[in-house]
Amino acid sequence: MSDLAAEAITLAWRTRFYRRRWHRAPTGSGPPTLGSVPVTTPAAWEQAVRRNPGDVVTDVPALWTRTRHADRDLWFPIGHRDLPRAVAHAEAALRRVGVNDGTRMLAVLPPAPSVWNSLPYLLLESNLDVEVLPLSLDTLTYKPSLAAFPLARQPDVFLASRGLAAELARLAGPLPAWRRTILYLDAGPPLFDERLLALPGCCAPIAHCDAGAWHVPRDAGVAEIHRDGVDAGAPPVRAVAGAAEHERGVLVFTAFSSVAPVVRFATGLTIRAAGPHPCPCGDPAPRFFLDGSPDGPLRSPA
Amino acid sequence: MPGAYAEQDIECAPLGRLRGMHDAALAGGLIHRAMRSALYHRVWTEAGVAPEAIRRVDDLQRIPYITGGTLRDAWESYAPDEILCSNDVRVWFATSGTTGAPKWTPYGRAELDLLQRTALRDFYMCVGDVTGLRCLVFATPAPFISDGAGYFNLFGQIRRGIRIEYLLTSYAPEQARAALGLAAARPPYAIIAFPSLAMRVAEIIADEAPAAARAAFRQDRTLRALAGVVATRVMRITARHVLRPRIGVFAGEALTPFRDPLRRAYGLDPFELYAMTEFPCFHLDCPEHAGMHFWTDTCIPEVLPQAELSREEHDGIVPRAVPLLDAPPGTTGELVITTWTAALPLIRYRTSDLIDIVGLERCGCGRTHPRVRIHGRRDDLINFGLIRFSTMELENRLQSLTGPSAVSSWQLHIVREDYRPRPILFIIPAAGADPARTAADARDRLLDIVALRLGVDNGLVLNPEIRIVDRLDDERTWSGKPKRIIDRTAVAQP
Repeated sequence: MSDLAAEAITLAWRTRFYRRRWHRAPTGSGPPTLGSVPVTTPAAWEQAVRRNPGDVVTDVPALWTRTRHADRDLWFPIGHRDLPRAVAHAEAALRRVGVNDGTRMLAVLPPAPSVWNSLPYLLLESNLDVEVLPLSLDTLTYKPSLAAFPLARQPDVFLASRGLAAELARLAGPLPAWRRTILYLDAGPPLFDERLLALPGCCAPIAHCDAGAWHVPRDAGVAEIHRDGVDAGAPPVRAVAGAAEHERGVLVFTAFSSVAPVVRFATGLTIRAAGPHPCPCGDPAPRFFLDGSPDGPLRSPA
Repeated sequence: MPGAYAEQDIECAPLGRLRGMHDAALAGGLIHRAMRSALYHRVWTEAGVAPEAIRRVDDLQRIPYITGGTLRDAWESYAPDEILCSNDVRVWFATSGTTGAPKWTPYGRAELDLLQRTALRDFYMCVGDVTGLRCLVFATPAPFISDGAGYFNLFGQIRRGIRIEYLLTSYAPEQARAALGLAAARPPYAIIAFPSLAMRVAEIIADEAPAAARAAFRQDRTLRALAGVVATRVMRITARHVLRPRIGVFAGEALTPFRDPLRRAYGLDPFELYAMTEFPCFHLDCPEHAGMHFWTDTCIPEVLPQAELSREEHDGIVPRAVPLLDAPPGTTGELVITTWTAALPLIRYRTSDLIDIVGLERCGCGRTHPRVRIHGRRDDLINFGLIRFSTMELENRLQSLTGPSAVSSWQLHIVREDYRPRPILFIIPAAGADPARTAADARDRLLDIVALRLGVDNGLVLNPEIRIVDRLDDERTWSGKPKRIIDRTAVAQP
């Protein structure tokens, strides 16, 4: 296990939330390991933040964002030191799905505090030289003519969730054929053509490569597979990097946060291990395949 | 002058140095660069503007003004690349388009840097040297600039090693409620919002506090949650109990009518911010509350005095602007700005905002930048603060009434009940029309205006009244024309 995971566990022990859940410090003869701590359920996290958000942080966070996991909209704090890393991760994810320097992008966003609202602003901080036309359906409903200029600007890339894309078409009329459409998974059953995915405790999304594998940057967190449900105290969980090919289970994710470690969070996403051989895309970062979400199994777009 | 972030050298620079910056911008080729834009090229060529001859602020008088309408026309007539003066465009933001099509503004690295720097100046001007504070921001979603402003501020602070905790949210009920739940547990030091919407949020908090406390106790049977229920039984819980902010930064509409209600509702010290999408620069009043410091190092501000505006309306003359730094305190008029932004400099842009010059002398806070107040708009707007629409829109809708509900003439009065505006539409029915039907149909037409209907539905504007009358108030404009819109909401400045 990486030093970063050990640091995350050590940091987590400083929060009231994990102290209450773990009862004793996860230390042994060596550095703490993920295997020594239980899974965190979305319900437990939600309740902790509702009772006292200060229980999940060790220091002043920079930003509170909201992400949907297992049918719950959950708050996750992002640290000041984590944001520059999120900027790099956002850039890498967008490059992976074909956004390059010089791209003009229409980004249809949910309003803050959704984590997806921050994506274009992370990109503006990055080295990716994109031109962003941000649009929200909340404002478009009030003023449909706001869609005219972004569409006339002929963006190369259209970024939206599937739901927002459909709603934009309803409000603004038939949409042009984009050179590239990048859909992010926000709600509903996952589809093969959704390329961006939010992870708990991370401000930047991850992207799947052309081989269909979702790569997790090594400095973003650790992805594990929980094979038999999420409620057991000492679950049979295995890092995706070490899991056998086709091993299936629920994605359990640990985010490397500097102020609010999210440790072994059960996302509700059903995943499949990619196995030990290298990914055809060449990225050595740990990866998994997505098989479904609590809303349903992965399916092809209609 | 305290502050974790301050550009003291500039914020406290003598006026002479600020004047020198204006001349330097012009002598540095600003007009030459701007003339590449189709926004200016043809008009300036026809007007005989020689860019190399515009080297000092006095020379600006030779350049024609542009308006919001000029900008809109240019975006409709030319390809964006013909208008832009730089290839470095990172993001676009739009105005709401209350007077026509929305105006889109390009922001490149230079614009984002300016926005960050002035936002940081403002932030530390009002909060002082407070690290680790929490900030609750109610933003309007993209493509409005306020969607990105919180992030730009945050990244600017991170780059400078400043740690602020942000909770960014929108006014959409679901997001606002979620954020308030979190903010109640992590009370913000500062809130940033539109004043009318901040008052609406305060009302929602007061109305929903008992039910929210009961729901919290049902979910978590803790002593703290029980105390919340008890508190709502023995007292009226308000925003000041729940959020306890120390300061509020308010933008987007005049703060004056809301100043005291905001103080009562939140117990905060309200600061007024002036900004426009077309120019990425935030101006704020300091703790002296003696007018907003207009950051004069970022643009060349001029003012078209009211007498000149009257002459323009009467005689059709081109009004003569006075550099703001040379205008005597007490001057009232329309703000004109010349900016040196990279993507699209605005040269002699008539903002339609009416300002009062409060003072040019050094402020009690030590800053030298002139202090101004915004007291209204000059254009065709019917202005309920955040909710605005054009007189022409109402005229067209009332004109469309025919037969038994036809309107002969109308006048709209805007009154204020406490802090909330109410429209009162006075109507003279056309000959042969049925007054009751005219009133009913006029009310429907008025509420067909989307902005107004949203304002009424969301509690920002009180329900309109329709009154059938024989004659209208005989109030006149500066130039003697009968007034269609009579604003009775003016409140004395503090």
